[in-house]
Amino acid sequence: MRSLFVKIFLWFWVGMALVSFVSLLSAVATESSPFLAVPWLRFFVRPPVEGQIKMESGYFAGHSLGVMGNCLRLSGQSAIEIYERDGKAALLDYFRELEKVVRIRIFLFDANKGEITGEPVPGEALELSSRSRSEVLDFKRSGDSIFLSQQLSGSRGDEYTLVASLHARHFLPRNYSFLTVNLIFILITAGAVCYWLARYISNPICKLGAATRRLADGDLKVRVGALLPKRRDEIADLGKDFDLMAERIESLVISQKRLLRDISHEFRSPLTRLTLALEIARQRGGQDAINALARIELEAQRLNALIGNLLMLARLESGVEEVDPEPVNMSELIEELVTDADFEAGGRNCSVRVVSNENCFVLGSKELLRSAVENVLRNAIHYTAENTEVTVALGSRMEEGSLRAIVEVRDRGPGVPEESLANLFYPFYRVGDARDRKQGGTGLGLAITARAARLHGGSVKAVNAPGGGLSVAFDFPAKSSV
Amino acid sequence: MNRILVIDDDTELCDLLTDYLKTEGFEITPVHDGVQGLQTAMDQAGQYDLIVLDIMLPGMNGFEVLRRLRSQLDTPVLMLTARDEEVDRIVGLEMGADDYLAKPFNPRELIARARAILRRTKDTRDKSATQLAPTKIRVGDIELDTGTRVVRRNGERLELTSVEFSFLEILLRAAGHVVTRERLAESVLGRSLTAYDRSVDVHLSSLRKKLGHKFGEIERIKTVRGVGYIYANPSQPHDDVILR
Repeated sequence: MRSLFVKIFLWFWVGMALVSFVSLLSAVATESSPFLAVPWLRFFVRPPVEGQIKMESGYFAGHSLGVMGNCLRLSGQSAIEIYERDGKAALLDYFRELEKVVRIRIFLFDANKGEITGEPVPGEALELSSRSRSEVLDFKRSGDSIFLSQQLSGSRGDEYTLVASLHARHFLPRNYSFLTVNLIFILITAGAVCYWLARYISNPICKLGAATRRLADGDLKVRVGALLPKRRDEIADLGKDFDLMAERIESLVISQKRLLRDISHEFRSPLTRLTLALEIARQRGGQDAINALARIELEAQRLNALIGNLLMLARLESGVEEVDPEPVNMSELIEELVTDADFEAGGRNCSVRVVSNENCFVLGSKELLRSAVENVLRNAIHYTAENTEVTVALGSRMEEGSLRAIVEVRDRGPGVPEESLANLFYPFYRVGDARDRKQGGTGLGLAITARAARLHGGSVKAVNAPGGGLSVAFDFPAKSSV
Repeated sequence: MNRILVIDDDTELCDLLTDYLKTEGFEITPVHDGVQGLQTAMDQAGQYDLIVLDIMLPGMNGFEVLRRLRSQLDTPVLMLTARDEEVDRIVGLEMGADDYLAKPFNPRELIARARAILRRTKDTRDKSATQLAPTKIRVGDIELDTGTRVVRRNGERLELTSVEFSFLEILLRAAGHVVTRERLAESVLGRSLTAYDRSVDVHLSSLRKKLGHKFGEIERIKTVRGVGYIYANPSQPHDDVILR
């Protein structure tokens, strides 16, 4: 029920069905027919079993009892005429003829409420005849039959009572299920119209949605103008606005990219000159200043690392970084990184070791994945206690039917206070004041790691490992083979 | 005296470089834009032992200079890139640059790389000059001629950069045996690898692309994880891997 299409379709369709049903019901209710053409309508309407209708001459087809009453009056007048002119036998003939032709039995009572022809009279007819009044049609329903009675007067002023016995079919259409079929046809037609309406509204919205998702995924060239041809409504306007927005974003991203490149160039040129000048100063025998020169070199290196990381983070944040997805063999990547990191760790009498390795592939950028894991590894080497081992494990698990690659890097260092764990991946976050700047690093490595992981549809989490040390675990969507 | 052509638009940097490298025994000719740099290199071919080429150049960018240069000359090229433009480095190496340095570079590193490249080119020149008979090495469908420095696959000539050629020569001579990354770096790039240095792998992956990843069903150049590479010897079963 989340789809707009289903919602529009059902609301309109149910609405149309209800309207047609209610109009049918009201038609039936105002017709004042004693019988129901559609049997299931008895759940909603109950025709009266007996009652009276004031007779007027102007009843029309919608009032079936009234029309029937008027017809009866005409037949009654004829019957009285025949009786007064030709006697009882002629009346009986006339009644027989009526019964044969229109299947209506008629009884005529005189002023003393005695039946004139002497035929057997059903109880309901007797009952009605006894209470009939002039200008009023009495009726009483009994099963499929209905009795109508009316007072009439003859040409010499005698009062007569006419009672007719009719069957339900005199009131109903030949085909009883006619109205049900009607209703079904209305529902089918309404369904078709609603289906078309719902599609007309929801289709372009789906297309817009798909285009928006592609834009969010970094396809800045996406436009919807061609997807909504010949439309001139609010949705078409929305499409145009989307295209304008996409164009603006594209140009912003392009200029951002150019800006980043320029910044990178403009910052590095003076740094390059600085290091060169520094080296010349060293050459020219700055023996007295050797410590200061070393310091300048160190700071220049730090500044350079900081610029590099800042630029990389800015790129990852702004989504400017273009990932040309290729299957990256994580197992190989980890081995390469660990070999390099182990070499680096040797300087602190530490080592880095792969404890488990499983062949799996992550779709993405090898360089980004490398720097994501590398930053964590360097961090681990930094903080692990001397003469200890940093362990790296690559594994995989199934989650909701898809494979996930898990990379876990664990150091044997002091760990991180619980309340700081979540903040580790924020730029320039430093744990406490003790793990301060003198320990090196730009403060951006883990932020880059987190962004790079997210860019690959993965995540990274840090926890204090049982038994001490920090454990950082990556979780990437993966494949078991290329 | 080694002569170096520096193509970089940063004039102040060129001045400093000239000053610095002079005392280290290099003679520098600075040029500040791509077109002019290419012109100088072409006109005075053979005058320079090394070209130091910046990627971001006005007029014509470094890649274009490199591409045109390589179609005529094999003067060694050391490329200067921005640190975070990994793609630039890979493209540069694939286009035939001999090595790269990221700006801002350590000047001592520049000297070390320049010397390594010069040593290697001198070695190959000496070798081909002193060698009595240039050898042809043939492994599987590949034939490498050390005299003409030409590589053919099934008789069809392959365009390899000079660095790729040297890598291939070492791998072919040791076909069927593992060659460590360190040995490849030292004998071809003339330097040892630093941590996180991927230049050997970049050259190798480019070499694989040019040779074709497989011949028959065999993987041509196999990576031995954490150790190095092995060129498959079709006449020898794969599993007796011997370290050389």
